[in-house]
Amino acid sequence: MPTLYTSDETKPDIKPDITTLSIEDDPGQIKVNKNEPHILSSFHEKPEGVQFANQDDDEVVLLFLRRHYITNLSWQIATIIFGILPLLAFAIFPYLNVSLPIDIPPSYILVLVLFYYLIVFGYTFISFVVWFYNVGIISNHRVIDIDVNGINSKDVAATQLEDIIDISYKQSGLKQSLFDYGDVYMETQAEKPNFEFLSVPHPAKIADLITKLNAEARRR
Amino acid sequence: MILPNFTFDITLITKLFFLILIGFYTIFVIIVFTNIRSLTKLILIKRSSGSKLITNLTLAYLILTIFLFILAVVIL
Repeated sequence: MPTLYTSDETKPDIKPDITTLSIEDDPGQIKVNKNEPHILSSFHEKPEGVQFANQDDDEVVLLFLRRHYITNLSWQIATIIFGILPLLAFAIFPYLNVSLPIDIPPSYILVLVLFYYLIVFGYTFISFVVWFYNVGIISNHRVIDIDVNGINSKDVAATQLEDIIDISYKQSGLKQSLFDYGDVYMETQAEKPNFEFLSVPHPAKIADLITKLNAEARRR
Repeated sequence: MILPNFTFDITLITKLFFLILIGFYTIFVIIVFTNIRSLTKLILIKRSSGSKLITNLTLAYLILTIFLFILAVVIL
């Protein structure tokens, strides 16, 4: 498995293309870049402004993938529930006529509530970051799968397009059919791990694109 | 039979418990901060596509946690 991480010193010097320039690059220039992925985008063809470590000079990102946004629903609902919970407790508690066995000073309650909300914020933020950096990239040379399983565990795998021997996708269940997302599996030659893009939008389109790129790479 | 009168300061125990809890959480947030920084180096997404927001939010998260720890030390 190739190492994809390089320090800032060894990062490939990617020359800016006129089509990727935006106001951020040169405040005096008119913004011409219109194809940057949105912060919440999970399927973006030929994105501009997406680069990865060890990217070759002639390598172009053809498809940028994340899990479908609907997969974030569970932690978003949990965040809302956890956010409302203390407010409900404060609203209901005076009517219950229950006294605590120990007398907690108000300053302690303040710190406890602030700490609670910090934990809720942390949970939400980490869940979002895990989704944000859990990406799949298909370039004109290879397929890259970056899996972030929690905040201190990441798994980066890449394979050349010609090394892929079998591509398949799976869509099951009402939710996946309704929102058109599913899992794409790629089998590679022996000794190399198999690749999977889980819960990505338009799996049929992705499988089709990889099949075409794979055939093209084999012809070269 | 006279039982010995054990008195323990519940306020002190609660205070220590909170401080240790928030202290450990601060260490966790520092680990999160360093890990997110390494992720931003692995894949470079244009500033306007959210990476700048995430960098700022990570820093804000760290600052808020340290602030809460200091607040807990002062208030409790």
